[in-house]
This record gives sequence, C-alpha cells and structure tokens, in this order.
Amino acid sequence: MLLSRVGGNLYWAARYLERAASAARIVREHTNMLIDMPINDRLTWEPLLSISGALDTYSTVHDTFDEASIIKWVVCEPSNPASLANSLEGARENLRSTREVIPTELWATVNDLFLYSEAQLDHAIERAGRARFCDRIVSDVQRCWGIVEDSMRRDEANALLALGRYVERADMTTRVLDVRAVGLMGEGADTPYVDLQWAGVLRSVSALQMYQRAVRSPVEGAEVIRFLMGDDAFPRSVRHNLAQLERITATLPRAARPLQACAHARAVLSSRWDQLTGTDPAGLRVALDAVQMAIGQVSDSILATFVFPDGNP
Amino acid sequence: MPSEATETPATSASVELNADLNADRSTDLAASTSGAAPVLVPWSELLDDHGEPRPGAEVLAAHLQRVTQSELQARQDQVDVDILANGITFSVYSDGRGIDRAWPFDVVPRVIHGREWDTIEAGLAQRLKALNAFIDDVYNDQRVIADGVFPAGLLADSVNYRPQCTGMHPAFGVWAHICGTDLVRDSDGVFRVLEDNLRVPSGVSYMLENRLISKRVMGDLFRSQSIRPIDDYPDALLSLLRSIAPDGSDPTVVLLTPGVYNSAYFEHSFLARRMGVALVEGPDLVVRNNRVFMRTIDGLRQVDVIYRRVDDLFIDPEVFNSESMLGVAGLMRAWRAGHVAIANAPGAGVADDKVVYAWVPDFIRYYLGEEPAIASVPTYRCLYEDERAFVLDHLDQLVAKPANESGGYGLCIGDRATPEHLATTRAAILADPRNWVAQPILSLSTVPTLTEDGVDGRHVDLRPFVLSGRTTYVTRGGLTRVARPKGSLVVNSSQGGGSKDTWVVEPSSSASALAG
Repeated sequence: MLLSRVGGNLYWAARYLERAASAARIVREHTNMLIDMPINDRLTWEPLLSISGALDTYSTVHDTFDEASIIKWVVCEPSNPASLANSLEGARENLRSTREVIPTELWATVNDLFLYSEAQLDHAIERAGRARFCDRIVSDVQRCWGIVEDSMRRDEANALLALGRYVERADMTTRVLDVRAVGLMGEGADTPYVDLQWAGVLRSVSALQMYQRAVRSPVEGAEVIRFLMGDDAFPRSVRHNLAQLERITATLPRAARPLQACAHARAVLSSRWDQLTGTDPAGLRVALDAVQMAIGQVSDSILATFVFPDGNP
Repeated sequence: MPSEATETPATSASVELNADLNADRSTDLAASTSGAAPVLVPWSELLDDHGEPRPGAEVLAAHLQRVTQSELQARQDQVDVDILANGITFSVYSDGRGIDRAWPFDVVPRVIHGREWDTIEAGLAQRLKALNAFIDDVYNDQRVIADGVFPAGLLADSVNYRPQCTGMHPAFGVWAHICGTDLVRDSDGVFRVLEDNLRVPSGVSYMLENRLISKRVMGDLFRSQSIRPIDDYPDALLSLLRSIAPDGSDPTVVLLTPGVYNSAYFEHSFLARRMGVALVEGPDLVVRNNRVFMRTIDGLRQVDVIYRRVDDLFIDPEVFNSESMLGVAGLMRAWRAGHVAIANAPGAGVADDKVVYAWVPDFIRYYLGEEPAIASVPTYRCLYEDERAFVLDHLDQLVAKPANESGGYGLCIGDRATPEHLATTRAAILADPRNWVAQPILSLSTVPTLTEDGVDGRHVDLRPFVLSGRTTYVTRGGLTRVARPKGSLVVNSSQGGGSKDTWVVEPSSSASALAG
C-alpha cells in the first residue's frame, strides 16, 4: 500500500539524488580533463551548462563562459533549478515527506549530505577542493542506493525509488552523449587528444573501467556510443535502464500504460540503432533526441498512472 | 514523601496554594493575600535542602560530581551533531515558511523516583477517566449540568464545544484517546497538573528520541540502576488505534497531518514510521458513500481509523472551517455514520480549556466518587465577579491565562510583566472575562542543566502522555521541558525552551547501586 502522493515524492527524490551525483561526476571529470588539455584549446567549460540544460538560463545572466562562473552556476546557483545544490535540496525535501516509508538511514544520509554540501559549496568553486567535494557527493549517493538495496523491502515504495533512479540515469546518459559525442564526431574527430576526450565521456558517467573490461580495445568513439547506449549489463547504459524500468514497472498494479511506454522506448532504441552508431553527427543527434523523447514519455506515464491517476497534477 | 509536604506553613504566599476554590466558591479571597509575599525557593529535583541527592537521584548526583564540565560539554556537542544529522527537528511558524530548528536537548537528565511516579500514574489515569466521562456526558445526557455541577452557560460559550458531535458514542466512551498533561512541581515538591492537552498534544516523539540520545551518551548510567523503559509507546498507541476501529478485523489506520510545514511534522512522521501506518494529508483522503478512502498507487483503499493531528476546526470543510485545505470534505458524515473512528474524537477539546480546568477536581468527585489523586493549581475564574475582582487587584502576583491559547501565548506572568503588559491584560480580561483565568505564580522546580556558564539549575515542567481506550496507558515519565535562560519559566520549544530525558528510576536501584 503506497499513497500516490508519497509515490510521487519518492520518484522525484530518486531522480534528484541521481541528478546530483551525475552533476558531481560531470564536474569532476570535466575539470580533470581540462587540466590535461593544452591551454587555450578549443575545449571549454560550456558543455557543463548544456548537459544540465542550464545554458539558456546562464546566458540570460552571464556573457562570459569562464570556469568560476560556470562551476558556480552548475554547482550552487540558487536560480539555476538544475544546480547540484538545488537537486540535493529537492531530494531532501521530497524524502522528508516520505520518512515513514524509507529506511531511517537513507533519510539520515541524504540529510547529512545536504548539510555537508551546504557548508562546503565554496570548496567546489576552487579547483583545489573540487574533486574532494564531488567525490563525497558521488559516494554518498552510492551509499544511499546501498542502503536501499541492503535494508528496504522490495515493495511499491522501493519500486518508485527505482523508477526515478533508472529514468534519471537513462536520461543523463543521452544528455552527455548529445553534448559531448556529437561534437567529437565529424569535424570534431580532428580535435587534439580526441581519444582522451572520449575517455572523458566515459568517465563522466563512471563507465571507463567497465568499458575497458567489456570492450577490451582502446577507447574509440563509435564503440563508446555503442557501449553507453546499447550495453545490456552496464548500470548507466540506456538499454540496461530501459530493461530495468520495464522489469520494475511490471511489478506495480495497473501498469499497462507505463509498460507500453517502456516497450515503445525500447523499440525506438532498436529502430534508431544504425543512426546512433553511424558516422553522421547530425543523424546521431536526431536519434538521441528520439530516444530522449521516448524516455520522457516513460516518465510522464509513470507520473500519470501512479501519482496523478485522476488526471490533475 | 514529597506528596505529604503540601501543608507546609511557610506557604503563606501571596495566594494560598491549598485553597480549594472549587469546593467552596465563597472562600474569602482577600483573607489569603494579607501580608507581603515571601520569596519562594524553587524545588530542586536533584538535591534536598542538605545537599543530599533525593531518592532515586543518587547515581546521577554522584556522576555529576565526578564528571568535568568539559567532558559534559563534549557529550553535549556530540549530541548536537547527532540531532542535526538525524534531522530531529521542529518548525517554528513565526520564522516565515516554517524553518527547521534542531531539537534542543540537554544532556543532564531529570530523575523521578519510581514510587512517586506510581502515584502520579494513578492520578493521571483517574483524571483521564473523569475527563472522558465529562466529554461523553456533555455530548449526550448533560447530567453534569442538570445536577448543577457545571454551569450551562460555560458550555455554550466554549470555543471548543462542537454541537455537531452531540449524540455520538465513541468506543469505550472515550473521546480523548491521547492526552498530554502538563505537570509542574511547586516549591513544596508537590506535582500539580497545569493543564490537560486533549486536542492534538505533541511532544511524545521527542520524549522517545531523548531516550535514544541519552542511552548513547549516558549509557554507563543505565548499567548501574534500573530506569523504566519507554520505547513501547508507539506499539501501545497502535494497539489503541486498532481497538477503536468500527470493524474489528485488521483495520487500516492512518495518521492525518496538516503537512510538512506544520511545527510538529517531525513527530507525525516519526509516529507513522514507528507504527508502520500511512502518513496522510487531507488531499490524500476522499469520502464516498460516507466511507473514507485514501488514494494509493493501487486505487482507493478504505480507511478505518484516523489518528488526526489536525485541529477539529480544520478536519472537514463541510462542517467546520469551509476554507480549510487540511481536512477532508465529508469526514464528519463518515464519522457520524460509524464508518470511521477518529482519535481524538472531534469535540474532545471541550475539556481542554483553561476555564473548564477549574472544574476537573469536581468531575473526578462527580463521575468517579473519588478524591483527586493528583493536585491541580488553584484557579480563579474571571467569569465570576468576586474572583475577577480579586484577579484584577492582584494581577501583579498571578499568572493570567487566556482560556484557549496554547504554546504559552498570551500569558501574563504578573511579577515580571511590564506595566504596559499588565494594562493590556487587564483590558483583555474586562473585555472577555469568560475567556480568562488566573493562577498563583508557581515556582517551577529546577534541574541541573548545562549552560554556557557551567551546570546550573533551570526550571522544568513535565508532559506525560496518557492513552485511553479499553485500558489506560501512561508513559513512564514524559517529556521534560526546560526553560533555558536563567530564571525563565517559559519552557515551550516554540519560544526557545529545551528538553531533557526523564528517568523514572526503579525504587532502591539507584541507592543500592552506589552501596554495592
């Protein structure tokens, strides 16, 4: 038995938590990579804004794209709804009204992480403290999922958390590819140290090590896309997350509509496979958009079915 | 025995504490105020007049002598970190949108001797029996009025009287299932009931959390004496709630909260979690065919028992405040049709009124044929001309209270009020005398408390919780609230009060621990 309202809060809490971790991974990896690159290279901080969908809001306030302003915007800007700080707050506020259904340690961990980030935000701005800050965010979110895995009954509340997590992961992986991979193909293939940059793409979704184990050859663009979109066993690949979504949704009552949306998303991934793995950057972009849209429909159907069954959000 | 110390002649205080105004309304009010008021020395909960530990406090007193200030402070600091990390908070309305504040906990516990607690427990159970009998009577036969024990006019005027509840017969004749009774210990060491909170009393979650915290930081002291455990409260509450369900078999119980911005939201969430019941807000519920349902991801599901933490006036816009977004339209219909049980029952607040309070000793005699086993505070009712005149003449020596405010709001403590405050209180009493009572200024007992200047006595009260159903359950101890500024008597957390764990120590276990 799970209240619809609480189900919605759990779903969003999971998405925000995962989103905060993704932001931390991306900031950490981007910093790591730019430090390696020759100064004044074409590579910029701007992709950080694009990945989190914050480019437009940023541009209305800033006209320069310098490191400090962008990191600040992505990590702690209050008026950027996608900022890491806002994601953590969103996770905490949503979980606060679900404390009676989640393990006590999950709330305590998220609350503690929120308090930590609030106190340490400044350290994320300077390069010296940034990696440590990001590490803490990533590992605490991992700890959260560990607590869920370790101590929570596989009930409806658990399912709604899982749905939020898988939707967010699938969505984030397509965003990273959309912003980074498209630029590295076509003309971008001549970019200096292009292989390093592809490795950076993998790192920004914590995939490098698993890629290397699975693919067993040097990092190469088309393989990276193939792995992140189509690997059926990697926790952040789109295919894996769609399969998980379908599996979890099937355990819930009255799930016909979201199951349909999951099947549709899987079909889009298959039908766009050639475009996704081809050599044309424009085709890749179109295909990624189609997959993203299908993931969005899965999310909409979950909310419409379980959270707002009466139709009024 | 402290309970026998009531007749101390030294209390020729400004107002005679033992005057029983209720038994005989013709008491010569003026006679008790001749002469200057002596300064009352607050009762120390830890040590007696000779500096020896009181019965039950031996282990704690010895510990406090041993431990250094910095050790104590280190424990306090650890506690503060834990409280923040665990999100044990309360919210304050006046901060705007309900800002969280960490729950203020003081590491030094308050001790009550087990044998003394037994008498208080019995007194509270007796009191709640009488209060429930009164509420049930008020909404049915009104014998108490017909027999001239309680004035009819007062009932009609009471802001907590709900005529919509007339004729209802909740299970076991119980309306106030959960009560938080505020007790204070006066300068003679006598525990007195200060007020009964019968509407939506809060604090029990903090009582339970305080014990968890103190077991962590003072665990060694639990080894050398027997402290009565308190952690079974949520189970007792759940059993009670299940027992009042309209249909016996496996009822669905929910806790209705006003929402996340309510000052007691932490507690609502805590209790729902500890009982394993759904925590619902008004919009989560819907009434169809006089039955209450909640909206789940699996569709509508019927609800049998609602532990509501929303005030009467907001639970059903059809019947009470039509603007309320916190309630459920049709809830009263469902309740009246007998398809859902509500705790506390709507209308129970009629006995939770600082004016009605003055009659509770009479209720105990009237309904139970017993003498009150626990003292209350003499109360002047401004409704009556003679008592009002007395109050107005002695406003600077009394605590004047508006009848229907809680949280310490509107209080006028005579000996420390500004002339302006006294004047506005006087005007308020004259404008609405029925709504005011006054009581002698009690000197609340003190407990050693960690302050910035070391360990020092601070005033405390005590809120035990009483569950009434087929049987009665009284928490072992309760929530001790402490006024943190030196000399302050205001213990409410909403106004900066703190809290302590309360140890009911098993008779002789403390003394023998030291002897052995």
